[in-house]
Amino acid sequence: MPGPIVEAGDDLVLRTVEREDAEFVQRLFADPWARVGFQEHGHKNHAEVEELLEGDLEERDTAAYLACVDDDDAPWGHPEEDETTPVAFVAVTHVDRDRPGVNHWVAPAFRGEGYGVEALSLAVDTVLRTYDPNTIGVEVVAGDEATREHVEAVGFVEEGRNREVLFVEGEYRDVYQYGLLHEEWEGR
Amino acid sequence: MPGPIIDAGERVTLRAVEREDAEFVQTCATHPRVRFSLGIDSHQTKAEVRERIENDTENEGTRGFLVCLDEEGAAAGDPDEEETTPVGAVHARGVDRERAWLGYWLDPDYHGEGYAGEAVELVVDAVFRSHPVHGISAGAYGFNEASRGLLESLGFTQEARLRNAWYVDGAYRDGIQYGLLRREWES
Repeated sequence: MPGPIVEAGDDLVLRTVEREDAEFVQRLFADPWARVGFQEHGHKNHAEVEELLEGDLEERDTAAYLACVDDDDAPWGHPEEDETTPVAFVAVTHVDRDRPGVNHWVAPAFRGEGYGVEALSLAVDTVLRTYDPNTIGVEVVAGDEATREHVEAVGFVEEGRNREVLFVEGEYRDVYQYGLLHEEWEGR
Repeated sequence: MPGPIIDAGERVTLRAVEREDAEFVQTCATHPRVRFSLGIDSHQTKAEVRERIENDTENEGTRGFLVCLDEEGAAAGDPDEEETTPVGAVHARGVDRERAWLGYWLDPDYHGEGYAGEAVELVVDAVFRSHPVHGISAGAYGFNEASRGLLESLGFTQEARLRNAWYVDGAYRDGIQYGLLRREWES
């Protein structure tokens, strides 16, 4: 289960990702559009995801969050299984550098309810309050329209398009580069 | 000293980067004219550079080339010290993926002679001939006119400008990304 609340929004809270959350994160690697954001073209088994959680995601330059829908009486600390429902995963790499990169993924059963925008927005907000990057970057694979809509709704600005850089679902796909300056976020 | 010749152009030869070249790489990479353009966060010791050669240059997905000016008759194998002068390096990373990434630099004493253009052209050709990559990418800071001109002269297309993305030489700088597709290179 996810751990304590890092950031609270209107409909979602961001909780820490715990090692027991491998089952949820593993489903991200079954999604060919999402896993390329983690430099993977194939799926991972449970043990590989546990290794990722214990390794890269616990590194000091990485910030990972589980966006959850809490019950009214869910605690600030560790919730029971019936007190919260994880709906999205957000990982931010290189938080100690000028331009961290954000990846977010909404679990298939919870799409179309605005969770992607809120999860991404909460993550951007907490990253900019916790660390001191000048800008935040997001890459979106052309064809992944839902992700593109989230990113634009949060206020990211399209900065270019790398042509045919990733092979996803049988085709070489373009990748859009999006950026959001700290001052743009403050002035929104 | 650099290793054997991998490829040769009209004026430059590309030789393997050897662990003993750490001192040369470190000397150039520390120079402000190279360090800031490359986006190296800070200087490194000779031991760190050697470790980087062992971990990065020797990685399966990386091709590391030392750009050399050979004397006439220089050995195709390991040259003697007086037979060749290393003047820079070109690295292609991710050659085992869809897209390779280029990085290159030249000893400031040898800037302005067109050596970098010749070397990068050789490496682009070598990567497309030996690896099944779909394209090659490269990046340069907005202020780096020499590097951007080099990429454009080889047919790279500017694909993105990441605004104020990197703190380099005292200010936030734009990062310009370039791409060159295999079919563009072949035509």
